[in-house]
Amino acid sequence: MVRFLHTADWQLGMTRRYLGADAQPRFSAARVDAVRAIGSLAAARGCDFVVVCGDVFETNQVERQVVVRALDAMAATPEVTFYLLPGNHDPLDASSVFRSPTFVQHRPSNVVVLDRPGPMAVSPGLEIVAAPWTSKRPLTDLVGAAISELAVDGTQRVVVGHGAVDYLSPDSANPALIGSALVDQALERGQVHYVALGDRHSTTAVGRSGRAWYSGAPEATDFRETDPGNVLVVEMDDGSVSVDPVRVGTWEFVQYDAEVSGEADLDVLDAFLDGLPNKARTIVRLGLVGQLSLAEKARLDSMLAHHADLLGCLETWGRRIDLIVLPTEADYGDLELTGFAQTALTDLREQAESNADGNEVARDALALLVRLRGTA
Amino acid sequence: MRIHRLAIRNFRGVDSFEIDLPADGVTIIEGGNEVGKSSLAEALDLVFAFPDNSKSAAIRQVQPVHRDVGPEVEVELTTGGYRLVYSKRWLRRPSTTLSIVEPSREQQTGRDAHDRVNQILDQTLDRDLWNVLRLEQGGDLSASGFVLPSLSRALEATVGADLTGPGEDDLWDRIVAERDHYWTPTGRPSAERTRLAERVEEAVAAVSAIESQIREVEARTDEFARLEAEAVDLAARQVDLVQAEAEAAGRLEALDGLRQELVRVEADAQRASSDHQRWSQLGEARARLVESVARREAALLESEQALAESEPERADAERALARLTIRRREAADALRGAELAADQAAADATYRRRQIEVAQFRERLERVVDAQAELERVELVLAGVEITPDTVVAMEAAQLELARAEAAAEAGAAVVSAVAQAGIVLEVDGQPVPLAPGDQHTIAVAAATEISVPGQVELTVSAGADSRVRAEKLQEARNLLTELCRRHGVADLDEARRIAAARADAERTRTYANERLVADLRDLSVDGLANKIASLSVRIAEFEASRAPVPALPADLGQAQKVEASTVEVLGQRRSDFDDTEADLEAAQARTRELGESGAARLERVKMDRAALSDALEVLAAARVDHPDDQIAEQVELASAVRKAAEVRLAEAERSLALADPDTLDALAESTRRARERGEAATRENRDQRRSLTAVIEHTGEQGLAHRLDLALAEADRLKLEAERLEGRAHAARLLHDTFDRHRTVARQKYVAPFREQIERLGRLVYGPSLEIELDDQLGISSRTLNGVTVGFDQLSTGAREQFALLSRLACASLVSGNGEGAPVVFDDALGWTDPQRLGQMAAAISVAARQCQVIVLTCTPGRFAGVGAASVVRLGSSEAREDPSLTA
Repeated sequence: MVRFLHTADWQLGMTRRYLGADAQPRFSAARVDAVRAIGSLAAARGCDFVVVCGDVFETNQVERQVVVRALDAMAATPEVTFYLLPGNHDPLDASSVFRSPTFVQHRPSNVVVLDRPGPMAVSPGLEIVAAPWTSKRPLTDLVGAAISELAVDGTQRVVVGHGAVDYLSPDSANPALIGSALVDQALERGQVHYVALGDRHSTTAVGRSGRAWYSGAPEATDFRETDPGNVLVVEMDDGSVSVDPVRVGTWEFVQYDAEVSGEADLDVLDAFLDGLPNKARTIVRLGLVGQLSLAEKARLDSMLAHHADLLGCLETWGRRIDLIVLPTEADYGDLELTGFAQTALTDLREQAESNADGNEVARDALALLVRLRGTA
Repeated sequence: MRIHRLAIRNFRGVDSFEIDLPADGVTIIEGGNEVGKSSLAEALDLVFAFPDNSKSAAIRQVQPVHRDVGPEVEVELTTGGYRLVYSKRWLRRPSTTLSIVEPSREQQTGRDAHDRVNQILDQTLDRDLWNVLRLEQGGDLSASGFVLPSLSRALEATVGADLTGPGEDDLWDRIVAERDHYWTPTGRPSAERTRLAERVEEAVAAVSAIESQIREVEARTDEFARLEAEAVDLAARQVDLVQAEAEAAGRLEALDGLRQELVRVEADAQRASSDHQRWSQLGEARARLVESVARREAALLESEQALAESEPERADAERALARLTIRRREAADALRGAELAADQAAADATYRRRQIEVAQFRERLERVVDAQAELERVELVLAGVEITPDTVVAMEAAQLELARAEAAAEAGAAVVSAVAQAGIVLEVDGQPVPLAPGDQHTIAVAAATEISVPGQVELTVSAGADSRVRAEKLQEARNLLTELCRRHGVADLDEARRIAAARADAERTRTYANERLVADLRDLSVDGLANKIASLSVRIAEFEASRAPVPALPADLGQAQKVEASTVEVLGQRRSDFDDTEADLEAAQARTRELGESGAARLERVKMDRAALSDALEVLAAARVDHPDDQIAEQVELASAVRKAAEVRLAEAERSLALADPDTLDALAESTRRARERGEAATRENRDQRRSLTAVIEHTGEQGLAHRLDLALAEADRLKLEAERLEGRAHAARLLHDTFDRHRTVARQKYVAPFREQIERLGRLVYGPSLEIELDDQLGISSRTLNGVTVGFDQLSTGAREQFALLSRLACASLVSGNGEGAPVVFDDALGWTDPQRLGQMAAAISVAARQCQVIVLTCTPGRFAGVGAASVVRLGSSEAREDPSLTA
């Protein structure tokens, strides 16, 4: 019986620009903490080793600090060996982080880089078949190449690969796509016994064999991911394989799109944000459309400011926020303008309510007028 | 406000003056300078401004001089709904009283009265207006503004309250401030915006820089991968190249064998050729030797023949020479004989001539000796004689003079004749003259003569005067002669004459002797003469001693000379003969010599030819000992054959080499070598490049470029957003400002229109119907247009500016002063710069304006405002208002 932990796409060193000065360090630290958690989990579950199926690092140009912290996190469980596979983000090219002096110098003995394609003995009767990336644009199916020549000789083989499988990729012209038929065939023939893949950040089974998986990223990295934050504890026993997804992720990416036009919508939005659990580790992106009065806009601003203080990150600007702020009659009523000021106001309102170019500027000008008058 | 009545007392120079003023219309107050007409205007200021206890300078100034009284002002006026009488006295018994008549009666005094009046004025009077509507002489004529609350209200009332209130003014200021925050006065982005835009650019540039660094890393990584692939290719290719080079080397080795063979065959051919050449040269030398022997034999024969042929001629010549030699000897002997004879004859002739010469010399010597003796004697004579012919002449002259003197003395002198009776001795002038008896002694007395007989008598005879003179002359002549005689040592003239004659004789003798000496000595001295004689004598003696007896000595010089001449002739003959013979001999000698030389040459030629032949024969013989002629011929033939064979072999070797194509093979070997070297260089270069790339990639890999890019991108995003927001605010501010400005300008134009029109209405009375004016923001006149010509206010003349200042005040007052509102217009000595015609027109304008307001005109020039219709004219000093009857219409 062989038990090991399958993970991938740690993407260490990843930054998110929308994160502020407070959230970004926590976000980065969480990724290193995930590595530490994986080691602990592997040790706790009695795993023989951990395979990390590519994209260990976000890029080969990653900061030294990230490298040494990651190595340090892995060194925390010396009884667990980490097999690291170079992926498309950190290929084993000339600039590879795995060959960098920092990595080489600080690599603990329980960390092994799968830098040669093909089988590698892990223990008697057990091989890891690696398909490392040596460039960002391989011209062939690296997994297919690694497994095609393997004999059916009773050796248990775990394939460690990275990349998109053909039927999940929209880019069918990509020569590096992993052929799912080949994978299935090799599993069927008994050439290999488990195919551990990386690249897809959501935990996903490949094919129908139940023995080929994307583990997904241990910590979420983006809003688009459907089921991130897991690792797989894999048990192989005499031809049967069981896969147990275990959640290790601590951060959430939440996208919320809504129309807000009036107080009721604002109430709904407020309630949603209020109801989010684990706020400090939740990154929320709002997509808002609608038209608000000056007063409503003021409430929205105040509400968002409040939630931004609580959340890991609240992205409230950019193209996703398409709110028209137009003073209402009520706003204007307070202005009490007379004479030419009154005619100028009428002029501006006409500009703001027209569809002509510059109506946004006119709306801003109206808001400014209200503000200036208000401070009078 | 309307002023109904104004009274002043003890105010400057005015004791008391009071005037009633109509509520609307013009009141003209005339008064000369210093009379105090301006005091009225001043009084209006003071009464409102200073409480009665004020001691301010303004108050003290209006106190009459030298009078202990307090200035007083009383004014009756309506303002707003109030009508009141207000009076005040300062300095002396100060007091203030206020009686409000309307709307309800009210009395106040003192400070309360003062404060109450000011309270009412603050409520009802636009104080700024009050100040503006007063135009004083020399006041500021600049286009002062009319931004006055009362005017604004009046204008707003006119245009329908379209302009804003103070709140809007404040809003407008904020809008301008907001706009100015984002835009410069020239409409460019503010420094803050520019700075932010620059920061955005910088941030974007920073992103680009890091991106480009990352691209570089990627490019290097790709390059490294390419180099690795290339290294594999290079290694494979290198194996092929090394093999190709080895093959080429093998073929080159074979080629080298062929080349060595060729070298060897070439050497053989060279050797055979040189053998053949040597033997051929030997044969040729041998033929030349044989030919040389033959040629020399022929030459010897020829030269021997020439020698034999020349011999007879030479023998003849030698014989002739021998004959001529004998003849020459004979001629020489004859010549010598003749010469001896001639010499003898010449010597003989000389001998005879010398004999004659020596005799002659002896004679001359004798004569010379005689003459010299004579000379010695004469010299001796001459040496003792001093008398010369000149001496004689002088003495003769003195003698003659004496004779003349004596004659004269005797003729004229007294004569004393004494006849001695006895012998006595007379003493005449001291000289004793012994006289025998009977002797007569005559004494001519020239001067005075003392005659005495000593011891007896003494007579003194004195001549007359003439006699004394003559006597003196006589004495002088006598003294002279005596002196001459004494000097020359003679007794008298005769003796002198004798001696002179002897001297002349001696001198003649000397001259003659000298002449003889010269003649005989000629060029010789006496000794020379003697020497000549001696030497000649010696030679003569020698000759005589040596003279042979034969031939006989000629008898004399003539014979000797004859013999000499004949011997000379013979000698000439003999010399000529000898010379002829000599010439013949020389010719014969030359001939002989010539023949002898050519014969010797021929002989020498023969000898040489013989020797040369001998040498040639020797050389030939020696050469034949080394290589007999037939051996040489054999060897030549043999060497020729060997050479041909070698040449054939050489041609074969060359053909073999050419067939091996050495050029191509060399090029091939060279190119495979080069290709291999290039491959090695490429491999090295590839390795170096990979090393250097590895170093660079490792270095940049350590820089955490991805992280830096993320940071730079975040910063750029943040700045872009900030800039976007700032730009949004800037454009909103500008739009707000521009929109407000546009509407405000329109409103303002509408708002100022009534004021402008009122000024134009009044102004057209003065300037005619074409007048138009422009107002600035402060409602001051900025320009005026007449007949289409626009001139800025500041460019107008002083008079025109004063007129417009007055017109605009009238316009303002007439607009604001409806229903007792506003304030009176007060002109103090205005229009001093205006000509009479214009003054009349201004008066009309004042009249028109005064229909709607109160106008008070103070003037020191009576009649200046005569044109103002319906005016009350008051002369200062009288307390009565006087209606001008001519203006009542």
